[in-house]
Amino acid sequence: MNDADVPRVHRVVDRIDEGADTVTLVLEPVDGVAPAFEPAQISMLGAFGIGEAAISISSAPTDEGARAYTVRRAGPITRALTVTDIGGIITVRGPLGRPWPLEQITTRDVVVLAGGLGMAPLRSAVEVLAGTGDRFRRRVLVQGARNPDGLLYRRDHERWAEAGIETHTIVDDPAGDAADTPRWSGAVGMVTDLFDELGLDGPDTTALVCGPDPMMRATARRLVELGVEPSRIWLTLERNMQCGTGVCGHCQLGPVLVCRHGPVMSWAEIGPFHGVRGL
Amino acid sequence: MDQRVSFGLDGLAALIGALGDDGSEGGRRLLAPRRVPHGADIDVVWDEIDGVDSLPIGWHDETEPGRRRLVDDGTATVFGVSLATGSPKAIVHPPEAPVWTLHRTEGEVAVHLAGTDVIPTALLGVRPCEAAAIARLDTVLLGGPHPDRAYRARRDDLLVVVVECTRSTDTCFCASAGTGPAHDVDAGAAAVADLVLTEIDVGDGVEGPRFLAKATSDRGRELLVAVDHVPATGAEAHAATRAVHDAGHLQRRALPPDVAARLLGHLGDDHWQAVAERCVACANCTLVCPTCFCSDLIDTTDLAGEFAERRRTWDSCFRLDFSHMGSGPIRDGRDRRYRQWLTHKLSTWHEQFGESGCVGCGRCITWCPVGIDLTAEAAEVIS
Repeated sequence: MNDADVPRVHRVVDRIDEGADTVTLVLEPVDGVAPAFEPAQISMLGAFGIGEAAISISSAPTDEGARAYTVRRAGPITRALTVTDIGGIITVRGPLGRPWPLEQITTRDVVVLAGGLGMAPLRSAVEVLAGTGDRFRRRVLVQGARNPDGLLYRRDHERWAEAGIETHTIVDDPAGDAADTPRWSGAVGMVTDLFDELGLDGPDTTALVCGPDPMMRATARRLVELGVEPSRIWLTLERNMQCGTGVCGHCQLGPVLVCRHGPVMSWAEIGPFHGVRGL
Repeated sequence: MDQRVSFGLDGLAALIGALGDDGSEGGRRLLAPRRVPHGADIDVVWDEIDGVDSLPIGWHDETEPGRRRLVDDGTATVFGVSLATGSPKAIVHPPEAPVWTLHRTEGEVAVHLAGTDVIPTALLGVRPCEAAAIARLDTVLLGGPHPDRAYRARRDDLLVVVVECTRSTDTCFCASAGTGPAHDVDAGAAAVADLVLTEIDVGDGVEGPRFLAKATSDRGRELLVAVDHVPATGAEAHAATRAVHDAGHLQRRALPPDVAARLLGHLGDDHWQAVAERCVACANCTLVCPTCFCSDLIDTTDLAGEFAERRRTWDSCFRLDFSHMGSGPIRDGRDRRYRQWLTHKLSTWHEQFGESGCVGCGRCITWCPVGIDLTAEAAEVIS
């Protein structure tokens, strides 16, 4: 019996502040070990009596025990999750869904493209790539955000760079919201603005992309122009997920039930529908 | 292959007795399209019945877009009303059901899944389109990697007697959907029905209707043991086949050919906006649809914060909140919500579940307050 429909009680064992309205919660089951997962899989995190939100797992798959989830406050459920203190209880169902196909990548280059909170489901993939040594010719991370505060997990960048990952950052608004934000001296623009500089070998590249829908669309289209096969451009989709088990119907995007068929889908599969407004 | 047998009203009464008797003290719950008072008239709804007299004998239904009347025709026909007001969906996938409860005491939380004990239940008078609808719900709710365990429990023990249609109403289009008016094992309903009846009028004004029956499962065969019957005559079998055939032949609405593939090429069609100008987003179509399965999950707590409960309720893609995200609803216009409903029903359901989400019962046309006809709208979109 698969028990993805049964909430399991977890305790918050650590909290990492990720900016004004975002926090990484480290959760541990009260009754044993957390199940194995693959990068981009999600869990349904439940706040007692308020509801559940679909949140991707951000820690490395090799981490024993606790799992990290980065949550941004957007509504009542995520608000309740983000204010849960260390020692507090959150229920977890999962892991659920189709992961990044990391084992199946056959190209020599792999590029990870993140926009804002879209870095959360990519972090565990980057952790896996950091351990792949010479399996790839190039491993590239391009992380974009609206402002410098939105660049999640910058504390990990140095470690990833040491593992051989080419790490790039770019922000849209260098001043940010806060007047005391440190001066930004890096690249300004969108993730796609760095493509010329990166010199990607399109036909020999696999891309993992996550960010707001317009960012993913623009990125996928630009990658296709650079010669990347649509079947090698992988997106992780976000829709209103309630059950996580494919039976409530809320997370449809055209022919796809995001929780049942995704959340990871290739541009070849979802491209024709991703660009239709209001679908 | 089981041969068809024949019996009269006494046999139907005996069948009703057998359906309600599972050997237990309380017996099996038996539901059928039952006549209930409705002002000076009657309504016909799925409810528990006491015997043959609970059925709407001598009544039939007349429908058109946005309209349905029940008419007293003075005949002895037992199953003359094509469709009850609601569908059997409400029995196998109820409008509201508990999911789990959480109890908090001194920093600990205990989880209790809602029980899956069900009352043994039999359904009499399920139409072929409705049996096909149950089969489609089975695919959706049981066919994925995480089957719905409450639905599983309700379906496992369900006994189903299908009654084929010998007349269609104005809004029926099952023939084009491939689900009726005959019980067709190819429509996926084979796993649903235990017994299939066809009512025929022998026309002598004395004997009353006859019922031809064919068992489609071992439990169906057991039911027939309790009913005095004779082999169906050639004339009876011919009359039954003819009546069912004619009921389909006379349907004047139909799904457009190749609608599933063609709709996807018209996601940007102007006609979606034209429908939106008439659609009031009331969600009636999704509630009366026998296959619309979407559910909302509602969490509540007590004031002390010690007890929390999750319940599942029917939801509708016509609700603005249905596609809610942190940034707001995705389908913010009625054109987008109608497009979601129609394309899911007729097209993307195939990709998701390998079949159509529409069984051609026509309830969405009948019960639409402004009489929107999905067969006509789909044809207009792809034209």
